[in-house]
Amino acid sequence: MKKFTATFLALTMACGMLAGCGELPALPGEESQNSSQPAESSAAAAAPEGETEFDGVTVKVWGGDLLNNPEFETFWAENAGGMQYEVVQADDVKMMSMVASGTAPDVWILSAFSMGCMYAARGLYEPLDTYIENSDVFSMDNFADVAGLYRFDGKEVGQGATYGIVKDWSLDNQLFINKNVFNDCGIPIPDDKTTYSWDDVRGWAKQMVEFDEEGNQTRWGFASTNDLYQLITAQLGSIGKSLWSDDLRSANIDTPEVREAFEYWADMYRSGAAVSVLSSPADWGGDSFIEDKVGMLNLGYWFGNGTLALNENAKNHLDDYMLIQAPSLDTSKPANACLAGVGGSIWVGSQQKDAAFRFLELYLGGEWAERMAQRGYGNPAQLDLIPLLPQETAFQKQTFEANNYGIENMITLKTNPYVTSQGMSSTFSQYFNEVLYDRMTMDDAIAGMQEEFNIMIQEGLEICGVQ
Amino acid sequence: MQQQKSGQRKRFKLNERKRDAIFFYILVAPFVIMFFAIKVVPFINGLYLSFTNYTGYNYGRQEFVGLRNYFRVLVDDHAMRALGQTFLIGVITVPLGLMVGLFSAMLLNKARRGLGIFRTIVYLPAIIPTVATGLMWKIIFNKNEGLLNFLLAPLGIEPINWLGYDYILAALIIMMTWSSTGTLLLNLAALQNIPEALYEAASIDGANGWKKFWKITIPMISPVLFFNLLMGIINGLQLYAQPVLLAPGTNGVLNLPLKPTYTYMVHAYQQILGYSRFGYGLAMIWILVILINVLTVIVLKTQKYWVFYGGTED
Repeated sequence: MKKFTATFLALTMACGMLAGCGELPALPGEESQNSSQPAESSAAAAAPEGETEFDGVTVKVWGGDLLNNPEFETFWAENAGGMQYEVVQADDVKMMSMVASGTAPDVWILSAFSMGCMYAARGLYEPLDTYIENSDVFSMDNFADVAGLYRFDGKEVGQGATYGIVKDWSLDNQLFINKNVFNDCGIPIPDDKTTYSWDDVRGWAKQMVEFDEEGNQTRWGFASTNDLYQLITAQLGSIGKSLWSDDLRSANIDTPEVREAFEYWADMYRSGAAVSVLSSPADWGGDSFIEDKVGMLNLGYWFGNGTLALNENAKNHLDDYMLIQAPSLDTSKPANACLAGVGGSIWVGSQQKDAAFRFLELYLGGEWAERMAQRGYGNPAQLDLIPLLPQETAFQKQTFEANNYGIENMITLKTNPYVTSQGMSSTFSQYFNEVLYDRMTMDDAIAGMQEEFNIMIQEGLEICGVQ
Repeated sequence: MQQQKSGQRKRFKLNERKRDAIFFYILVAPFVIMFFAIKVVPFINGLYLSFTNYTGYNYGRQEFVGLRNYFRVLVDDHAMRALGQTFLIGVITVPLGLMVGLFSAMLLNKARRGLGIFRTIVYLPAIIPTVATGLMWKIIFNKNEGLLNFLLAPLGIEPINWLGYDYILAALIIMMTWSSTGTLLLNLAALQNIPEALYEAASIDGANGWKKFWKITIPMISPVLFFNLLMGIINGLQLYAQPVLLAPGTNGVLNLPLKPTYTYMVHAYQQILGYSRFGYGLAMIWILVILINVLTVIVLKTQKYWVFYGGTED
């Protein structure tokens, strides 16, 4: 009897494990469980019965803010005409497995700046031009210039077919300033529509540096969540220069402009003017900014309504903060640019691209986009929605005006889709940290980065099948 | 002897030996299936991919490149330097960890009031998740607002940038040593299995504390020490999480540690997830596997010189 029981249990376990490798049919009322595509969240309550072509279709979505979003679930139920959506939680490695097995999600919601054209160049995104032309929700003429982050013709970013639609974005190299810190240092409050130079910013930041009696730094001038390569890309973009050659086939690291940019940031970090690996508060700079320990934050419009206005320590005195234009290396030229942004694309292997585009229309456009614009968590991708951004309080009016002025005077930065953004970030950090700690000369660091970036570009060209 | 009648099927009879064998295979089947599915198949697939130019999204289109990835590891300055740093960190942290684990166990081996609480407190670092430990120490080590500099300030010591180039290695060693009480329980069990009679006999012969420790304690717990040493070497060569947790940046698992704590596995991880060089990263990992096996064999060969497995003599 014991042997029979043990055998029965072992067989049951073995069968269960084998069955777990595949997809079990969903029981009535249950979500389907698939080991390669765990559904963490499913569509809202059953939508009203309708005669739409996507009735009963389920679109799988990777990324975005749809997980545990009851408001969107309600909106979806009222507007999706029977179509369902399923949020797929996966990291990059899992996504690669899913692409390889042909089970990747239909819609990808990712960073526009870092991944927009990178995945397009690798043949993972479906061109959307025809969809947009036939759409009642989107119009090419109504997209902000930031839409260029998703355009690529094989040679240049910003030209060619459109591989995604931006959901929300900001001019991430603008500055939020803390008026208390400026006043405390005797620095005149800047004008919010003037383009100041990076030297101006350095001068202000150095004046803000403070230490206590024990030698601990208690105040910094500048902090940013942008990586060094983003900061330098933005600086170069303000004078029409780039880290890349015109044909994107090689790096332009060893140029006077790039060298000057590196020297600039080395000075900012070594002097303690900017939060860095050499000296930093316990947080990344955001909370310290609210506590009057950081004078300037290199962040865009989203920070105002998305963080400051919701912070317990800041929301009651928002007029102590203001948004000003992005600094430039040439103050006669604007430098406001998007360094992040979020957008949606359709996976090229999707078997239901029409439904996927309908999802994009509902999530990135129409009524939902209007609602998000009214919250002011970021700029909408469509120009006619920008007036919907909040403008009730003095703080909202100021940030709206500064942001709007920036949009009218923005530049589109040149990215290289053949190089991964993480690879760029790691290479910059690897060499620049050595320079900061005097373990390497600037010449050696630049030479090393030039070589590494050229290798990365060649590898990228090979991956993308480009000669 | 039974004669089979025409038209009747021959009855298949299992003898007891065959029944036992079938029963055995059925019982081990779940483990074997899972082991193959989760361990062996990915293992072999990873080995295969290390000979290709797999970059993550080109599965099915990757090309065989032979030993190119493996040769690249040998000429990659970053990889070789990282390997050297990994060995350096291991040479310091593994013995330190063994000593901390052993001396903690020795202190807790004596019966005294409140022993249970002390054992819990001492063992606590081992059960706190690595990520929580890393984040905690990163705050403690902060130059301007960290607890450590706050405690050192009254001694007249200027704020130290513990997470900077000059001290990051020391910070890592401190953090890892603090977390190394995981071997406490094994050491404690080993110590408690040493017959008290041995110590009594040594006392009668005039042995002092040091002699008892060196001639009785160490040999008697040498199998546990050997096991801990082996596991320490294997884990030390795979060091990844702690350097990344102390590293500057906001990129999470892809934060880049400074050179003194830039280990081999960090470099492999960066190659795979940062640069999408999956084939190359896998080759790096396979070289590490070979290295770990070689070191394990060497350490195993040394056990005959210092590991005592015998019981009491008759």
